Amino acid sequence: MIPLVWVTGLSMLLFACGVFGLLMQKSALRVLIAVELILNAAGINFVAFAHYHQNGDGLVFTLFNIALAAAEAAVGLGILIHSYRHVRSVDVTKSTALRW
Amino acid sequence: MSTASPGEAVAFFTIAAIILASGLASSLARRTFHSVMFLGVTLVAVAALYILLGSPIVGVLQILVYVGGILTLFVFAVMFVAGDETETDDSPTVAGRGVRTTFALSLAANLVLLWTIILAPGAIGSLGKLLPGGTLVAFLLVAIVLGGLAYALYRMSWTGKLALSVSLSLGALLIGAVAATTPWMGMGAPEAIGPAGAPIEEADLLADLLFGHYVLAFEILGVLLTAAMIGALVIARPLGQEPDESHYHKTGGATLAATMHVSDPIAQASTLPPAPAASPATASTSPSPPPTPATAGLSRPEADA
Repeated sequence: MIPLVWVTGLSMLLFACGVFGLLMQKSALRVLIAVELILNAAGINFVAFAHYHQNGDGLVFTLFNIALAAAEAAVGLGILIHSYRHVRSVDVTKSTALRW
Repeated sequence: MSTASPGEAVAFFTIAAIILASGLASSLARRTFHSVMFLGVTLVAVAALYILLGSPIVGVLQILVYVGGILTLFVFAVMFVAGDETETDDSPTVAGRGVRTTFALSLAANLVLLWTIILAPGAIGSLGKLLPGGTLVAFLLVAIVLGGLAYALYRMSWTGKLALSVSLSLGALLIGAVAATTPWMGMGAPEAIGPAGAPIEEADLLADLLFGHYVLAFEILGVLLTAAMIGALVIARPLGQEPDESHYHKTGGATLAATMHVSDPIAQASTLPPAPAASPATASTSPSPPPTPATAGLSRPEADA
């Protein structure tokens, strides 16, 4: 049985990769990719604790996580394409209409 | 505290290395398309980790939904918004050829890994119980991996060959470790080996929870997915197709109003300028016109007025 610390450590590092991409990238598409990495880190945690406690709730929440990621990607990419039509750019630093 | 067997440890650390390397490369890659491809490698490796942690159904669903659906969406989005924004000039860079090499390498390692995990009965949850033709699928995977590796070795530079040989040795090490720690002989008959029916128990547990205790959340999730799909369609609609009233009355609304005998003289007079020229003839011949000709039905109240 794989120790829980290994899996949670891997999840933490993957989360760190996602946050790094989220903060470093300017393109909205890259930001969405980083969000997917973060969601996967959360899913790894769910499955790890479900495996460790021999409990199925974590698996169900992983499935919900995947479905929510699908919804998020669909709406996020729709917004991205729409914003690209407006300003001809997906640079998140150039969309300043709502910035104070 | 439980300790991992050597095979499990090697499998876990290989998967962890692939997840971290491709996740970092997904955040660091210069081109957006490479970033998406590295995200795909990460997703497949996370699915392999799910299978390693004893829940192959969640792993298979991860591959189906994430790689089959979300990654395709991302690739389409890259295609739509490509152009000047694909290069991010001030981000840390990974050389393009190196990215390609690493991508091919990690994809091949992923496939080898999946093959090992699927075929390893006993220690790791075996898909052989779920798939009757699991060995055939595994051999097809191996053929694909070997063909891809041979093609990559033929095409790539010296560095790529070095990296590929490292990858091959890593895969061989993994296969050897798993084969050493698990009974390897039961490839044809996996039900004879290991804890009996672990994947089937997982399916039972998951089905009981998903359609029992969590059924309300499951239904709400279905509504959410439908709403997200409709919302994405509405948001991503082309800019010229705003739902203005004249467009609606000219196409769909006209026939609807004609068939339902709905008279709205103001809207019809504004939307149908050429109709009054033909309207007196039709209005005089038939006081109650049939609903099928849309222009005649629409112009009738105006002619009466």
